[in-house]
Amino acid sequence: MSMRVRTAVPAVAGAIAGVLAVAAIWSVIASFNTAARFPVIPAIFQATLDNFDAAPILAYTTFGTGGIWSNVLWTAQNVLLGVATGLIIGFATGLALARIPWFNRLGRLPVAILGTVPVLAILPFLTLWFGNSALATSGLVIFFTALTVASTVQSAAAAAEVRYADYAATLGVSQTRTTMSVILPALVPSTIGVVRAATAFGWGFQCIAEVLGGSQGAGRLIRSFSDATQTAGALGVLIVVGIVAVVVDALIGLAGRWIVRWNE
Amino acid sequence: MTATLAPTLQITQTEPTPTPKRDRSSLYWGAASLALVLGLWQLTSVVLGEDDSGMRLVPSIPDVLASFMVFADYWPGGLGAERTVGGGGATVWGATLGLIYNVGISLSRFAIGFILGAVVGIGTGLLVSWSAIARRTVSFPAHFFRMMPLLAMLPLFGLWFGNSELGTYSFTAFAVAVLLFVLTVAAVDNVPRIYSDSASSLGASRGRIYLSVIIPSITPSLKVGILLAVPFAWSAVLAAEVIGKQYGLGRILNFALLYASTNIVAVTALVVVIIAGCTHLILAKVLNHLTRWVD
Amino acid sequence: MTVQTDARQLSGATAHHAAIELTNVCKEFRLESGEVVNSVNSVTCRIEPGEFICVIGPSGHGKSTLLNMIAGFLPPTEGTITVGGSPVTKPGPDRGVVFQRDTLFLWKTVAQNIEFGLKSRGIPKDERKAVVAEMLKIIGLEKFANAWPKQLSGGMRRRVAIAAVFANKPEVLLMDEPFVGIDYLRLAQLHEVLLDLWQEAEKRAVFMVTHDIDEALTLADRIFVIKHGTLALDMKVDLPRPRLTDDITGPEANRLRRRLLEEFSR
Repeated sequence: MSMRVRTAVPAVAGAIAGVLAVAAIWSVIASFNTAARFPVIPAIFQATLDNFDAAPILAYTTFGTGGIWSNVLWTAQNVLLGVATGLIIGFATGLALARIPWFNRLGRLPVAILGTVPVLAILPFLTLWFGNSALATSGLVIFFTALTVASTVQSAAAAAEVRYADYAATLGVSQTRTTMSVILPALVPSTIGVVRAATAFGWGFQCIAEVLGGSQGAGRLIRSFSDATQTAGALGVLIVVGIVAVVVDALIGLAGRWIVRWNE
Repeated sequence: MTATLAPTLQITQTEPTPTPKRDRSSLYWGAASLALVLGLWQLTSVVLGEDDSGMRLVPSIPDVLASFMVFADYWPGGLGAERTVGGGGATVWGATLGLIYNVGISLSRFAIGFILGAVVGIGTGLLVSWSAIARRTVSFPAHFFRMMPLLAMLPLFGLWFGNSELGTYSFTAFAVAVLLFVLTVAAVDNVPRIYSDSASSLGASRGRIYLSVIIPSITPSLKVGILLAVPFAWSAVLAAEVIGKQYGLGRILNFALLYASTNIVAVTALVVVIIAGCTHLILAKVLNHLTRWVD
Repeated sequence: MTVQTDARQLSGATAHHAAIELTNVCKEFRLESGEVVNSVNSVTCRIEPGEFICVIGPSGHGKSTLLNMIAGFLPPTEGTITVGGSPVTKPGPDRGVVFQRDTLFLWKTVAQNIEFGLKSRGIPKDERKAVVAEMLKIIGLEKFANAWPKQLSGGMRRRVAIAAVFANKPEVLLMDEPFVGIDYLRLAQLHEVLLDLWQEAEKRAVFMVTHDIDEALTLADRIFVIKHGTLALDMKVDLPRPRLTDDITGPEANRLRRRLLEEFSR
């Protein structure tokens, strides 16, 4: 136990030093610029606190309610739901691509091409079909998550096949059972890794969708603050989202480590 | 479906079918899959039909192709095609010029932003990874920046740079740089210790080890990161164009949305997908060639 | 038909099947350059139930290809392979394989790994548990029944891997250099475990590929030498079982060893 504390101390010290360094650099930049372009750190803190529960700017510009916290929570909710949905779609697709020959032959090229599509190009379609609803904004997260999960699951399943399929055949295990009891568990470590990465990207996609056309959420709030040149407020929202994202990422990491505690 | 335990040579079994046909089959299946996609697209267009306002939910393929003419509206005039805003008619030549012009503009924004971001991101990543202290200091802030919704910082860049081209370049470069920085530092962190141990036992200095051993060994992971950053950078360019640019594919997309025209959205998105796909393909080919030594 | 059967019964010979029978088995591979490689060249042999065969020979001379064909992973270009009288077409539980690479399922405990084959084939729980307990006892890992493979050393994992295949009660056992890289001390332990499992399992036929002459002399009833894809030598090993150090270093063993080395250098 003491070993873990000993190795954690340099990392924590480094983190603190890093944050202080960034704060220092920011303060220097802020001192050469107007408050509108580069607000000082105390101003950012203040703006965040002032707008935490209720952001007056929202009442002025939209008919939206709430403050920083409620909007960030709404965004978080949509990111997680989007990732969960994308995970299910992507996992099923990836597994099917790996285990069903005709699906692989037909699906491989379209999925590969979809992987090069800039995610934001999907947004116009979602807006046209679903307006400003939650589905439209989460759609980007779902799309990206599904694609990256499918691609990862497919290659992980192929690797698991090379490693285990022959052995399973010599034990007399059927194809279906091999997929369920052998390939599937082998996929879990890589899947957790890609879910973690997709969530990290997901925050960005969700927020930009909200910036461009959402009716709620952190992105919408950032836009409102920026349009009213309340830079401190906009930065405050960004930082709060960042903190929530880091915490969520850490939680996923912990959960992941426990789920695959059998992994080497 | 079992993997054959064939000997380590690249061997194919002796079969009556000669080898050339084997290579073609994946081409046929690829073409078949694309044809299937187009077929499903057309089918969906017909089946879903139009919504209440008369707009076709999924544009049919002929409509999309016909919408190509919209690019004529985004040609600033000259070279034999007049500005449609000024009253000139939309011609195929005008549309072609418009297409090339807008693609060129978006592509230039992508290229400049991407290259700048890649150089800054990978460069600083390599510099920081040199010193263990620097790495530890920078790790958490970099991780935090990466977790912040980078693309959502667009309004801030609008505040800082106005509507200038510099703003677009900076925004794209920033997004790419943060991403590649984090990936580079992680890649250096993951280099197996045995590489540097083995090099120093051969008498190499620390600097030499870094340049000749560590940096080449991270090129495979860098390749993955760079290819991931390509569509990401394109998203940044599109976002920047939507907000405040006069020309560019993102701008056209935005107008199409305002007029709720699925056809124009579709044809522009199609052009975006093709261009982004091409940049991805070219970059992949270059990077694959550079990492052709990988096992 | 009846006459033949009566004659057989009169002669006292029982019509039993060979455990493994190869007849004129050949395997060709076509390289990408168009060149054809003759990996296995007309191998004919017969292995009776209960025989322990070790196959040795220089690398790349077709030993593993032969094993893969018996296992059912590769079809022979010519010739027939039967196991227990039935022709081999694809892999199956009648031919258990211990692979050179680690195939233990990391997410299953030791006990779960051993019972996996039985479970997949629908063997009832009580019977499975009994077999697993028996196996664990023989390989000496009762305390590790609920451990994960990652908590075990390489040698222990090998023991579990072999037990998992034996537990499935295959008709024949195929082993492709299963003990490569194990240190000398552990090797002796593993040999003992293997022989214990083999004797407990009503002595099923074993076809083991190895590059280690000493290992072959310790384990085998017959040693096949494969050179250039052909069966260059089929040598009976008449050493007593259990084979103690004296037996493996004695004059008879040395005679066999010399014979094998001569065959290699020819």
